[in-house]
Amino acid sequence: MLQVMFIIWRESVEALLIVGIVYSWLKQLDDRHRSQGMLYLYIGVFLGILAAIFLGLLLLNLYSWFPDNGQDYLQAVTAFIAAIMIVYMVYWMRTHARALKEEMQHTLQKNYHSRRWGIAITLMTALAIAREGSEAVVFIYALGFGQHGIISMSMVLALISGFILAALTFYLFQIGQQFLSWRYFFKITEILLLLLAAGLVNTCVDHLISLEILPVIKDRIWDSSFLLSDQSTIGRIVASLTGYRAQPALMILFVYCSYWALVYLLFRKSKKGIRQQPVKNSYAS
Amino acid sequence: MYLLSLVLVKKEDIKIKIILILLSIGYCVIATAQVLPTFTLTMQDGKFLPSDVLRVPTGQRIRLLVNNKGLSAAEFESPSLRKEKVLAPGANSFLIIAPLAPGEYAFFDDFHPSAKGVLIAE
Repeated sequence: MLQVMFIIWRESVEALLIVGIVYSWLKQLDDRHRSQGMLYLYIGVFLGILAAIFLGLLLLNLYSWFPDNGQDYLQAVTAFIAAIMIVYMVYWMRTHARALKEEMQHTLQKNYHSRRWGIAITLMTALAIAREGSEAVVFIYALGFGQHGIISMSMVLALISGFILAALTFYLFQIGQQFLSWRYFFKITEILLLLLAAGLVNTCVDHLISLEILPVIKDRIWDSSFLLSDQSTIGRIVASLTGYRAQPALMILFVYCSYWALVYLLFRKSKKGIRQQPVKNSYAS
Repeated sequence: MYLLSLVLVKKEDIKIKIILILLSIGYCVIATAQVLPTFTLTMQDGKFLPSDVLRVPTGQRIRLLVNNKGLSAAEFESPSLRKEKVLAPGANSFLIIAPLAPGEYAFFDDFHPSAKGVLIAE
């Protein structure tokens, strides 16, 4: 359940950063506005979490609508959608994250003098939290969380520890700003996310092969079970975090390589875009 | 196949989505209604019954009935067969396994790490 923990960790850190931006902006206001604004902020957080939970419940029920063999279709589709969402999210963060803090503060400042500034804070926070929350819900669902209508104790534990880890990370980065850089946090988790998406693509292909929609071409191109068996605990963790297969089919290899080629092309382009505007990573500072 | 096209349909076309889901359910029902060589595997709190060795024919689709007679949930899982199925205590289900090449395919119970078995296609 390491992959579930990782997703909850990363998404919660993002959510905490957004709450942190609003929070620090509110702190520089006068007492009356500040306490009022804090209330609106909390309402926003609450609504956002509610929206994510609602989506989660919906997904949990989705499973029971499908007959036994139809669940393979459902798993293939959710894995595919989640993989695309992860790649898109990483791409979006690369191109937009640096301006996010300024944009948010600008919106807050602009609405400050209008009568509806409270609603603006609530809405902004709620939308941001709902976005991070529903991303997390879709990702962990695709990774197998509650996919069969059963939520085991270890999954709940992964959920809770992921969140605690996020709170700790956020706290550590706040007190140790000189030593720790958000940029590295995002760089490293970005790579892990792309690997995770590759794993999801492989899950999708496996389901499609088992449904005979895709051909195997040739099964068991090699057997690296003696190095790392995908039956072992470690092997299975590596498999879900990277898409590793001990006995890969040629089809899996082909799709896996295509995935990385596509990601490389996509991100080479975004890198060029970033170089043209050398702004300091403000989301992260 | 129908569900795959779901991805291509925009969110707004809910009607088309529902039709596609119904079609795919129909497709599954037809696909599973064919008479297939059928094998049964029972899981019981970390044990595979009647045996942890299953012998199946190669080159044809087979149906594997899996049921959980234990008091705890079980998960039939096999990377090499590309299958995973969670079963609540008392639950019955089945898996359709695509035609296999001759060889050994390991499987295990993900909720009971000691439970390991092998499916031999010959």
